[in-house]
Amino acid sequence: MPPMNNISRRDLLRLLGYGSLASAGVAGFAACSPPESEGTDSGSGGGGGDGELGSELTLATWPNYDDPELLEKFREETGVRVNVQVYGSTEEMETLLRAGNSGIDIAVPSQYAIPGWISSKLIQPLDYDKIDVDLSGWNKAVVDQEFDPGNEYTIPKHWGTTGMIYSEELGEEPTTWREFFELAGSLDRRATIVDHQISSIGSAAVALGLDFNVQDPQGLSEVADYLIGMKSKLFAISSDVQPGLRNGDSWLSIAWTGDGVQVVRDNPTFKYVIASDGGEIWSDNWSVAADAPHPEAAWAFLKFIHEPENAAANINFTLYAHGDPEVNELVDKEVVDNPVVYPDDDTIAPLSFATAETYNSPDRAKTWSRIKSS
Amino acid sequence: MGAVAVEAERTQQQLRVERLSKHYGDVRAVSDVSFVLEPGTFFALLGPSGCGKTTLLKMLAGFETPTAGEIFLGDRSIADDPPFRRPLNTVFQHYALFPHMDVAKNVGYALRQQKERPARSEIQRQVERALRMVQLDHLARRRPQELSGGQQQRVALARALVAGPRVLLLDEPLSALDAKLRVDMQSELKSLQGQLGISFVFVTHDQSEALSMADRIAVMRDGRIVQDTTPHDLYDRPVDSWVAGFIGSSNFIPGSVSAVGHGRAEATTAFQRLRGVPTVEELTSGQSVQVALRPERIRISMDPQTPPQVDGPVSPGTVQAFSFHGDQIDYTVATRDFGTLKVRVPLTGEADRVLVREAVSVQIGWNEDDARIVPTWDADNG
Amino acid sequence: MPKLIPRASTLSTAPAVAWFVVFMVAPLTVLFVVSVGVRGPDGGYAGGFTFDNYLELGNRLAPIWNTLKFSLLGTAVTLLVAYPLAYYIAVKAGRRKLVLLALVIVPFWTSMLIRTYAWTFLLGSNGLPAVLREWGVVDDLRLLNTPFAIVLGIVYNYLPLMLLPIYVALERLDPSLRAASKDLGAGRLATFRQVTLPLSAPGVVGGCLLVLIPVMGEYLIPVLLGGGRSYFLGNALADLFLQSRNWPLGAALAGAFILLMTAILLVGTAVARRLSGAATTGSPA
Ligand SMILES: Nc1ncnc2c1ncn2[C@@H]1O[C@H](COP(=O)(O)OP(=O)(O)OP(=O)(O)O)[C@@H](O)[C@H]1O
Ligand SMILES: [Mg+2]
Repeated sequence: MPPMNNISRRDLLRLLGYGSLASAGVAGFAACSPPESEGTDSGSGGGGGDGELGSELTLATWPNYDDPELLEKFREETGVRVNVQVYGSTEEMETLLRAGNSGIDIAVPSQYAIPGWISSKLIQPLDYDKIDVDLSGWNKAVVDQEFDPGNEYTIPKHWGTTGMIYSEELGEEPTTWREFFELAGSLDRRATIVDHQISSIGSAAVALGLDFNVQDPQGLSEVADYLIGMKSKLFAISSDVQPGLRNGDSWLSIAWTGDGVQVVRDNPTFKYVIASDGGEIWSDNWSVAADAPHPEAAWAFLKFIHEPENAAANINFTLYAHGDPEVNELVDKEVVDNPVVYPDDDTIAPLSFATAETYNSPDRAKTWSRIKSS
Repeated sequence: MGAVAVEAERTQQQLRVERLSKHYGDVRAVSDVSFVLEPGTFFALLGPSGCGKTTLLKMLAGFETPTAGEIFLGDRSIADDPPFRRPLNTVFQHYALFPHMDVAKNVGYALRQQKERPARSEIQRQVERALRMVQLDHLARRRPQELSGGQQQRVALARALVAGPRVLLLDEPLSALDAKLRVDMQSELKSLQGQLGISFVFVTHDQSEALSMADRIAVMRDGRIVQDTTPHDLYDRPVDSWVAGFIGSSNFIPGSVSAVGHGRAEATTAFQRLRGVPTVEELTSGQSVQVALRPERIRISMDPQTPPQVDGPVSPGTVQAFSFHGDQIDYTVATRDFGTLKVRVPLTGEADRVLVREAVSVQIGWNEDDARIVPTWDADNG
Repeated sequence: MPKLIPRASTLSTAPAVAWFVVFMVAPLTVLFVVSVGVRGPDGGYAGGFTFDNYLELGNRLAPIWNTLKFSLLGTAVTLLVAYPLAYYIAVKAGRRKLVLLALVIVPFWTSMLIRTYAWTFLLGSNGLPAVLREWGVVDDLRLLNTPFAIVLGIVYNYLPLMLLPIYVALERLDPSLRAASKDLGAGRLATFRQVTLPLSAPGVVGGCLLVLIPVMGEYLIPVLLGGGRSYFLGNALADLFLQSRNWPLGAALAGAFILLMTAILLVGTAVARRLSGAATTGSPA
């Protein structure tokens, strides 16, 4: 059963930018806690626990990304308690890691941040001997990608897409970003685009026949003019897309997989569609901080979380797609058969990963602020 | 000087108050008050704290709506007019000067409210005249906070007078001033009222102020007017023992009426039968009364052998205490026949002769004309 | 004041100086240093000395204008709502005064986020517009994500900050001043204009500053009730730090923002001081 409480918490966090505030406090506290306290209660707490693992592990992740029962199971098996810190965006995690002494052991960045994290030595190479994962059989769409060739530093936790949600009320069935944006500009304040330059600029670029990762000033100014031209016709530029859709204020919206699954599950009159003219595929990935205070616990956790039975349980909880076919065998059938969660290979073929350049591009950031402030 | 109010051709009008009452729930702040003021009367409302003076004044000014009763100015009822339409103006107890305006602005305020607002120069002329009248023309640019209490008082007066009231209402206007300034202001106010020829309704709880200034005094108690007459009459013929005690001071010897007639009454007291002048007409035999003796009407003889030259009772006594006031000396004398009495002796230059100390034997006495027989006021059934 | 021995004075002012350094000088210094740096290739701050970020602000005037426009409008509307309410409570409410004040203040003990979020449902098409549609008042009323909703959010969230100083000013106003004005021939309106309003002006200025300044830094209301279509300085700052990770530009914008606020505060307090000097204590001219 998917829990109801996961409704767009991630989006709200992202929207409010509060994650950083909340977690800064947590991280500060963790960094200050005396090292002696580590491992004191691990021996007694852990069934068959390895004393070297210590007693705790800090996981920087997104809201509702991990099944609490699974974390409890891990604690029972190893004696290691997992502190979960939730963030609204990769950017926030990065801010803390760059500041140093964050206390974070494992972080779950989106793929576009990874090259920067590697070059800045924020994360360390994975010890595959200890985590015991073989990626050779995994979905080629998500492993061995340009952002981490050979997956030396990261393993995809799960992946998803950026598509469009619309309601039957719309009376149209857009299948491409071109159609989406034409509709958006023709309606009176019914369309929502997400407040994230990567997804919104990228999708609009696709609609204009440009590359999702467009960065040249010419292309970006084309996108800016396009979006600014229709801004007064939009309902919202917001990452919290669900309330508008659910209340009937918004009839179509750019949306990430998680929003798509939840909205369609609760209200079957909605459709989540992946555009046929291109768009975004993304993955969130396990990584271990270079200055992780508990590396051994981190390896143990990654080993645990990749055992097919555990990984499948987590997928059933989070409703995102896993990259390991062996895991997918064990995932509930209704989840695997849900085309929102597991689109087929042809559907995702035209999609692109946002690159690190796209993520870091000052021109894209500036374009986005131009659009928002116009 | 002083013609601010007179110059507007003012029809002098009578102020008539009929059976005016104001109740706040169970509190009867004012009950059934009536009076008529002929133009040009200096009318004092005198009474202890909480007796309803301010409430009465507020009804006249229009700040409180009467529970019952009528107010007429001339033959027009004004009881339903809002304050800004009544040709009465108020000098407030704490002056209520506008702190954000200078003296000239304060004084000209009423002129600027008029429907046909006078020209600037005209306003200025009238303001200057009013300020000259209260001798403050040199302070026109000051803020009220930069003035002394007496100066503020005058500004408040000028401000109200510029409005050209038919009747000026003053709520304890001198209570915030020190004694010396008070006396000065009393005579100033009095002469101003004379020049203007309008009525002043002057609230005070200071009986000497009322006595010295007013043409007429209404004494209030518990929301009612208990006596409304001239100062002299009030002092000489108080309607009951409470008024006698409130106005000036008195020695009281309780008793009951045993005979009445020929402008005299006789009361039986614990000491003797005492005769005196009744202050009200309707005394009945057996009625509870007080023989009231003003301290200054009791004669004293410093020679224990010689009684004072009086036609009334005399008694030997002993000085228990004395206090010196410069122009008079107050003695407390324990008498043989009448208990302890206060005696006041004016000093007329021969201080040595009357200045005695405690424990000295004296004789006292009074003329029958100086004793008053007043009905006893009893708080429970007054 | 008698001269203190220097050592004693140093000692006694030390906490104040420390406070000032820790909470004012240090952060502002950091802000300035970052603002003259450059953005690192992966975002953040990479040192340097250039005023390019300040020059770049010239291209980012839109959020500044937007913020000024909305915060002035919002403050004005808040004033229009708060003043009559404050007047009623201070002057007319009598014994219900405390109850009414409590009613105004108590809702603000819950989080602003929750209260503002609740408005998205009230203003969304299943909320107030649905009720009005039901009653046949209007057909297709759109309230959420409009300038109206933003102003409403400002009024709702900042009402107590405006109301309390005005209430205090009106409460302190001697009622006999209003009585005197009426006594001298001024009607209700004239009395309000010439006496009540000028004497409560310091409270009005104080309330306006208390509202204007935080509203200028407002982040939540444009996001939740404006649907992100109106962009305030607060949103620009959040984006610069959290999305584009352009710390130097963010620092420059924040610095400019602080300067703007300081200017407003200085002008506002000067005005308030003049007004209150005129209205109450009265220093010699
Ligand atoms: N607004 C009111 N509500 C209830 N009772 C009131 C109100 N105003 C006055 N009273 C009561 O009415 C009575 C008369 O009050 P008022 O102010 O007229 O007295 P006063 O003679 O002016 O006294 P003071 O000399 O102390 O000024 C008092 O008992 C007072 O408590
Ligand atoms: Mg009074």
